[in-house]
Amino acid sequence: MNILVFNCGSSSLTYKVFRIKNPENIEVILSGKAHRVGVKGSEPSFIEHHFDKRHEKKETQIANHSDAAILVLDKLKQLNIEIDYIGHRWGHSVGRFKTSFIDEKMLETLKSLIHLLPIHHPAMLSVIYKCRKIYPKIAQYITADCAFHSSIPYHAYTYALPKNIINKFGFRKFGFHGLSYQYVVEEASRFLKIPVKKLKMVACHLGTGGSSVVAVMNGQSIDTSMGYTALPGLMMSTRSGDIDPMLTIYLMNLYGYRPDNLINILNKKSGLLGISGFSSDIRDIIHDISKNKQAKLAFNMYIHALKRYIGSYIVALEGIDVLIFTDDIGVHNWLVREKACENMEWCGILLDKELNRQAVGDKTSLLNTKSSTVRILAIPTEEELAICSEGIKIIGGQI
Amino acid sequence: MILFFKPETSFLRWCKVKNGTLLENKFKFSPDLYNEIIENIDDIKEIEAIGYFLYHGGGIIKNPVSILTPESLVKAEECISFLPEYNDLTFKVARYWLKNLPNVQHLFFCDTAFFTNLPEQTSTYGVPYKLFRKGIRRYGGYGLCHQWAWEQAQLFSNGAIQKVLSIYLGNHTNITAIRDGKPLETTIGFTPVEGILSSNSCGDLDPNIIFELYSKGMSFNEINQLLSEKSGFSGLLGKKCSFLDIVQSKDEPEKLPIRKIFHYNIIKYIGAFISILGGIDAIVFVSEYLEESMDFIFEICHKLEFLGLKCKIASYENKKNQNLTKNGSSMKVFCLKYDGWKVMAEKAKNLLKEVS
Repeated sequence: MNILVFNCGSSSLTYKVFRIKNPENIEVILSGKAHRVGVKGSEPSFIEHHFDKRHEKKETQIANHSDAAILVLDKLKQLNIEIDYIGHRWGHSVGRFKTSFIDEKMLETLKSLIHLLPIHHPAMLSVIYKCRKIYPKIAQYITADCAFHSSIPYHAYTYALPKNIINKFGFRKFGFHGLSYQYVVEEASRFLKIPVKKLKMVACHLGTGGSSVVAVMNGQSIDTSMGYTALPGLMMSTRSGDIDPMLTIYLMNLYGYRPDNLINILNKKSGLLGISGFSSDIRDIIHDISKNKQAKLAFNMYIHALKRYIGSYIVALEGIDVLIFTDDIGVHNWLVREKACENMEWCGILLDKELNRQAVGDKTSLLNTKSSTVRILAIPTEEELAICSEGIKIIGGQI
Repeated sequence: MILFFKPETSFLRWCKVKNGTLLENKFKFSPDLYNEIIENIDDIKEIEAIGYFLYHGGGIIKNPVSILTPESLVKAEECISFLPEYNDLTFKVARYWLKNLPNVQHLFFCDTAFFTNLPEQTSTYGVPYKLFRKGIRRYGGYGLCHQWAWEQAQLFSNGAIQKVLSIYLGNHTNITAIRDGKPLETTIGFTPVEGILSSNSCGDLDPNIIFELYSKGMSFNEINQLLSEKSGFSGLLGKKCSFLDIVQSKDEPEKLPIRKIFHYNIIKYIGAFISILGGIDAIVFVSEYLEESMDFIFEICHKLEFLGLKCKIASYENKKNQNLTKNGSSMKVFCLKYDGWKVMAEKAKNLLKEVS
């Protein structure tokens, strides 16, 4: 059985085709990623494919996620790879489902959730629709990315709003990047050969689009930086991260911003792009850091917010054993890790700068000095494997 | 004798300080201010100076305390719009006395001025930068209080302390991180709603919640009111609830979850700010309600034991510099009884000495 897994990031589309002989024997027969999907920046969009030990990279215009999906489906046809199921990562299920097949009713549900993740959900839906159109007979399923955070306790997920408002609308912290955290937490435990129950961990999922931080105790999430939606928390590529909530009302009342315009600004024109004025990509920002004042400010703000959350969660956990960096920026960007770990001796974090600079992003690497009481790890995440495993669970007898 | 004025939402607080004693009063602002004051003091000729408390200097007033002249008053008026409900009254009173008693010293106390030079990465929000140029930035608050806390910590330690967290505990709890006398971080943002939940305001919130409330039919004014007046402890409890209700709620099951949220909010900011300071030498708790808050303060300290904080459990003693830590503690913890008028009087005295 082959499962094609699509994983929509806000500015990327990752895919993998898993060949499953049985749940213990899973191999990847084709994988790839479309980069800078719909991104405004100095470098062009491209897509990469990996199969049979071959690596292809093609620069091409990729205007949106639906176009990226077409490039992937074309590749499948070209290589004559048959697929049986298609799995997708879904962002926000408001706690209503974890993994589920997509039927007409589910499509309606998904549509009603669009506004909760206005960047991701439309992209995810567009890929689902494209697959239905091209492969109308193949069953598709989704896995929700917020399920890992269902263990967050009341005092951490509650917003201090009137209780009747909370009850009526269901406002609370949900959090995201759950599939990624699930994987890196287990991988850290495997790598260090220490049971997950004995480790207090802070993991930073730093993506090219969205980023967040999680505090993990006993292998479970106890708090995370994103909230009811994926807007708050760290400053991201185009999302503002935490702001004074009153600022939105002030901008609408005094400056006449329209709500839909302001939602668009906070989600798509803020963050690194809003501060730098020229790019939403931290690699572009770092490139210009010494010659452009706004680039320097954008970088400093990015690190500042990251350090705030790492510190927050270390104190919330009353200590830390493992600090994890994951996803594209987390594993590939040594400067971000170096700055995030600077002046953190107070809690035992000591980064080995040489190891950190030399680390390659394709395998789990230990980056702390010998005297550091905290293990620092860069772990490439495997969300697609997590989605595949979730799929196998619900496909069950149908294999 | 020095007179001080501080505006509230519907009235004016004032205080006279004479030979070290304070007399406090409040009334509505009226054109008859002069006579009301005369009734409360013995002789108008005794007034050496008048101080005015301004909540929000909007980045325009850069000194926590300064001499006010008719000219500087006009220049400062730009900042009224940052918090018109309060600032307007401060300016009315200042204008009144500048006109009626031009021959005494007039002093301006600005509660955001301490934060004028916050590091850029702290004061800037991650929104398009043109909004920063329009004045959308972190302004902080309770600057006079936090600056005083820093100064006191220096006195108690003979200047040995560099990295300090100043935690104001009260109906609007907020925290500032200070290194070498300069603030590096603070919980209050563009408005006092951001940061830690208070008796009536919500603290940090996902902005998308505001848009969802709007799309479901609430007006911006209603949302404004909801977040700043109907949320916080009172909103969660469903009836009026103050700081004192929460810190003294150890045996009240319905308030315990709220107390836990409050405690957790403070703990998270302590961690965030220690990280920004790169370590910590001292925590200073500043409050008008120290006696009532001691249990709560120990609960906070308890969570920091993993960093080497060693507490000695004690009840509040009415000493000026109560240190709550044992020998060998990695950081100091001080408790300071706060009296805003006294702090203003001290600052006024120093400034008047300088200019005379």
